[in-house]
Amino acid sequence: MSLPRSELTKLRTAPGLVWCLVGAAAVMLGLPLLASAGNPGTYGRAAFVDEFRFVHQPLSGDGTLTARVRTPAGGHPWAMTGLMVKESATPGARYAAVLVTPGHGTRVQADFTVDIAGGEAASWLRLVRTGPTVTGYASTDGVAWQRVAEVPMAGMASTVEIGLFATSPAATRTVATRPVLVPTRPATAVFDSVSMAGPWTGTDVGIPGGPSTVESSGTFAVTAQPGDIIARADDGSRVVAATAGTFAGMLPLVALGALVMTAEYRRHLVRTTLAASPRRGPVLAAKALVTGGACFAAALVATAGALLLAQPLLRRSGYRPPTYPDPSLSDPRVLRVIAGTAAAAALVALLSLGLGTILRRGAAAITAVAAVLLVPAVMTPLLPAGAGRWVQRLSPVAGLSVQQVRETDDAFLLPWAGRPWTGLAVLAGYAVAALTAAYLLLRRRDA
Amino acid sequence: MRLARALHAEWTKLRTVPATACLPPATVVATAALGTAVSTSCGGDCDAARLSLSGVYLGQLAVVALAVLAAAGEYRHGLAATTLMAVPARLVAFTAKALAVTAAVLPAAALAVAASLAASRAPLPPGPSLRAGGGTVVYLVLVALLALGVAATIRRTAPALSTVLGLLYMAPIAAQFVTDDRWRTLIERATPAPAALAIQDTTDPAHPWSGLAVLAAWTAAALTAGATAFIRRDG
Repeated sequence: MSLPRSELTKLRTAPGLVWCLVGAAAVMLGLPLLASAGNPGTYGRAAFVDEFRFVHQPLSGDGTLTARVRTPAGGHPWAMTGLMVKESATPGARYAAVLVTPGHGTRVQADFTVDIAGGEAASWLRLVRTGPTVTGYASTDGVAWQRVAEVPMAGMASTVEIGLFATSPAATRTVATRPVLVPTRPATAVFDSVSMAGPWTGTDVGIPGGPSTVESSGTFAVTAQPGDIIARADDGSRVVAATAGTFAGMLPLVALGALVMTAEYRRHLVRTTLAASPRRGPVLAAKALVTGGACFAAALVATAGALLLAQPLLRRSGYRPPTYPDPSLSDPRVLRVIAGTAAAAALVALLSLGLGTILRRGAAAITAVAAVLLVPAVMTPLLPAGAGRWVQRLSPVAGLSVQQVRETDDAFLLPWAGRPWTGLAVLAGYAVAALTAAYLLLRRRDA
Repeated sequence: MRLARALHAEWTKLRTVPATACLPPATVVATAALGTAVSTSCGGDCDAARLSLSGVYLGQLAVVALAVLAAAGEYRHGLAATTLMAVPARLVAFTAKALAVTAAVLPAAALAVAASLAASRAPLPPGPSLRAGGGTVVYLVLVALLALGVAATIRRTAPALSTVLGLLYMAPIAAQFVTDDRWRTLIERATPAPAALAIQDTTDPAHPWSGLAVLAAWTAAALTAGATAFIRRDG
């Protein structure tokens, strides 16, 4: 009982260590508030995103458009290439479309809310408007057609625009860290065997104009600036905001974990410590308990505080009900984010404590933790998507997966998307391994 | 003359203290090894030179550690007092330290970059690759001097190291959480890294050198702060 108490006293009375804790909490609280205040009115303008390249012509009454997708737009699992009828080529106008995506197969979508899956990505698409309904068909060879879905479009104007479209969400949604100062590239889709004759009009719906459509002998290259066609929904932004400072706040905790041990070697206090309690195991365990507990508490208070204090700022920026409901502390997902963040912060400090005990020098320990924690996080955007994800999955950064809020297959520093606890377990594995090695070395070595 | 003697003394310290002596070779090994590993992961459409040079994300750790130990390590065992007794002119001592660190980092960085580029499997465009390689060497030297300035200001290895690592690694990550494009662009452009590594882009970037200029400004500020603190404080 006296060991944890003496360790707590050391932690409490060393100004450097206290500053580490205060600094970490300040970053974990301050960055979310800065980030929340730094989004003046970016959201909440419309209930939908409607941004794509549309090559279209007017259609009165019923009609059929068939085309082959030679090259679908790429760059994102949700890049879309397909055929569409739309009341007019303006953002927000009603529409129905049959489309293919790289990651989610063939789909029929309408009016931002209808989304019907239709199996593997097809290479031939057909869109048929009959009276008040629009039907999408798909085919692998252009001969045998399969109906994907029929959507009722009652009340749609009789004269609409029909044509080819392409769009691809910005690469910001696909890679962990945006390649700095490098603009995201437009996506290009290529169609041929288009059943309707021209003249066609090219329009960039909802986005600034980009390169014009290239048409040569029946082949269309439709190039879209980054965009998307989707209803805005609660994407968890009001919870995610609370996690903005976690990673940056971990750096002072890394220093803290290392210094708890290395400062003793520096001032030879370790001899006194080990003279007072010669058994190495309890000493290391007491240090781990106090360090982990202090970091857990600091991160818990800072993250919960950030969540609560960021809400007024976010509401002012347009994150309001009903699209963005108020987060509640009793929501299990919110609880997981807050408690998991605190646990990840504590585990990073314990990893650092282990490495500090092994290396016995503060500078060396901090460099080592930086090598396994920071380098994988920062260099991921340079790697191909699959390799980058595995680098993060197997490094201690995986622990941040516990912060996942959004249901996405692409997210920032969340390599274990869908399995938040697995990521935390990977980090815990690193911490346990480091502390075990530290214990074995501490027992063998002379102080 | 005084500077030459002081430089010789600083160089001897760097060369004979095991911790600092092993760091230039570590820079080369870490940079080249990671760069080689990463460049094999490229499946076609990628910037080959940038990938093979991406080892600097790891290699710069050794460079930063070297500079921090050179500037702040002396205070640990009271060696700083001896240094200042031998070279009482503070500015001379500080300049000698900066020159010695540059002399240690420059060949290591050049070797690391050359080894990384040589290990690339994909063909490299000669002109832009030369710019990318040369820019990376300059980047590593500037990062070392930035760390030296910060460490001379703070005088303790662990806090100095944390500060420099925070500057280099945390700003781009924190910027990710700012969804307003103007703010994010401002943060990304005004912080020292990784904007400076835009120099590694061989796919015709708009302003390859502007990021390095930002880093150079940070380095100048850190060196000024470090020199001022070193001159005005008691050893």
